[in-house]
Amino acid sequence: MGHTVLVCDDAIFMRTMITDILTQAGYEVIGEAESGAQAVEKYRQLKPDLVTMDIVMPDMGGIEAVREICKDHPEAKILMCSAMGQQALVVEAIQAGAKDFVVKPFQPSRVLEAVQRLLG
Amino acid sequence: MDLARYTALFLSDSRDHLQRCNELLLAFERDPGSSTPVAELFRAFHSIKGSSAALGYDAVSELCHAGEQILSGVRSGTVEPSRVTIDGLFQAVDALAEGVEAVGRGEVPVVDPTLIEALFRLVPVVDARTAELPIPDRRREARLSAAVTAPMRPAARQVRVDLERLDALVNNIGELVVARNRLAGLADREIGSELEQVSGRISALVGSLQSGVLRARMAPVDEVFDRFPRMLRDLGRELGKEIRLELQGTEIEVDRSVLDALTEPLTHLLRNAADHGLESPEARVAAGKPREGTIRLRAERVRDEVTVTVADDGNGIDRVQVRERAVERGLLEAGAPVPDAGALLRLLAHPGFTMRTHVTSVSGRGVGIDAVLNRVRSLGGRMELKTAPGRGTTFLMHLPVTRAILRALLVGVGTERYAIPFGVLAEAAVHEQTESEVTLRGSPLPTADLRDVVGLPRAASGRRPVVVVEAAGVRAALIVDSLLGQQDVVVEHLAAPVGLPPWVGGATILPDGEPALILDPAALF
Repeated sequence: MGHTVLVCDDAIFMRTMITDILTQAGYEVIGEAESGAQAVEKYRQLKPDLVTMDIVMPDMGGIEAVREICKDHPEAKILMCSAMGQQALVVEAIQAGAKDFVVKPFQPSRVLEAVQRLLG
Repeated sequence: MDLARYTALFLSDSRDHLQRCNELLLAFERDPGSSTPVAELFRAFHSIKGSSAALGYDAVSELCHAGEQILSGVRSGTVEPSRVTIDGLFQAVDALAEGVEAVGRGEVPVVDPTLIEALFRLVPVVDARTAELPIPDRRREARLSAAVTAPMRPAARQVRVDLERLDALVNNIGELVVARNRLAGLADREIGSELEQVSGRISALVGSLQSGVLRARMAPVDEVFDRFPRMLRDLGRELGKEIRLELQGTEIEVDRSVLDALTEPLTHLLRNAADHGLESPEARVAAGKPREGTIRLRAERVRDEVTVTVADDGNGIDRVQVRERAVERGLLEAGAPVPDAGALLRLLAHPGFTMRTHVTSVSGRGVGIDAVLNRVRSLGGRMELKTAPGRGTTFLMHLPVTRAILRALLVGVGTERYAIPFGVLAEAAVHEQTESEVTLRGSPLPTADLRDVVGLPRAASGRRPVVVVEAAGVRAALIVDSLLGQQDVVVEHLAAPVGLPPWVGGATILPDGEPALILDPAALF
């Protein structure tokens, strides 16, 4: 059985794209979240093997969501999806507990590489 | 990657964001100290940046990046939320909208590089090209806990449906309504039979199916109204006027096709109100009015109709002046009385009639009220005008809430049958052949004989039924041979070939399978 993934991004465009990339590679996307708060909620509910997390989202940003998830689940495997020019925020996200990052616009191969590395 | 699918997502997402951006910018302009619009604007730019970069629309992505920079600077206090900044953001949103629509047309979007440069110049150099949205530390904890404890907003249970699919459904249901009517006709011959029972049940089900699908096509008028605050802001600047736009009844729903067809006439009426209706701030003050002029755009549901009102508190229309201009143009006799509201509307709606002595870029070219009136009529609606000297002008458009199926009165002349929309019916009367025009309660009405209209020979003699219609505030009488009863008819729009008479409002198929024309009585008198 494939690993399970929770995709968090406020843009349906990005969610669709990430879901497509992962699904085609045999992963199972078991949930999507449109905000940081939803991401935290869905993580608790679904316990996915991996989370992809956008940084800029309404209600609660991605970094706060990472911090919140890692408070209870320090082992959570979270892959940050950042836009160009957000290096400083990526560093903050890693400090908050994220394990790796990819930069938009995505190269599917780069995304899969990072996912495979995280899931070992 | 499935490009068509991603492009469609990009378009619908970006359009939603951009529509919202205009609202947010207006809110930001009213209150430059507020952080909520800034954060939401940032997210909108950020989202479009991401998807446009993924699709390779670098110019659009770069433009979004510039917008992000400015907003990020405003947020961190390094960029002043000045008029120049806000204008820059408005320009960015406009350029983005153009870019997105270019994608919609299948083109590669281009953005004027000087605009992008100008936008980047609004941002201090240190801040440039490191898009971040810093959140002050002391507020972070509070925000975090508030967000975690806030109840989850339930996801909206909605699907997007292509309007064409709904149209196909409506057409099918239209056919079904026709078939139901035929079945009811057959059942009527066998009162008390099983056929009659089944027919009754089917009638009820088709009725609820019909209203269900028609409801699914409804959309709130806000989807058209929401573009006007931005438009009037720009118009006010251009004309040097202070304008406040009040929106009312934005939640009222009408059929999507009616809504789409309303955009142009509303744009026109609002431009007229801003340009001709409202006075300059100085003139308003001199007249003892507030400097700021008010334009009210309002939707109101009245039974099966929606009334859309455009009202300004400007100077009103000078009827005497309209009469002079009409006499000059040979539309009125020299000694004609000052026109009443109905006559005024007809004069203003005369093609090319304008009260302006000079043409401005906003309005006054003379194409106007006639186009508005024609559009309203083609939707099966009516228009009214009210104006008071010094107090303002109000245009009312009464429109059917739905369009595809019309309740009509069937009338006959000779062997032909015609349908008259219920919306225009006032009452029925009887006409004696000896009189030249129909008189109702002592006052004569403009009268037409449907036989003359459709080119049939005059009726021999005797009493004939009269349908009294009311359109654009005017009552008129239409003499027919017979009244055949009411019917739900499915409106088929006729592609207007050259020479189609103006009184043809559409066509329909009657329960017996024969076609009939739908009359537009407003065009008869």
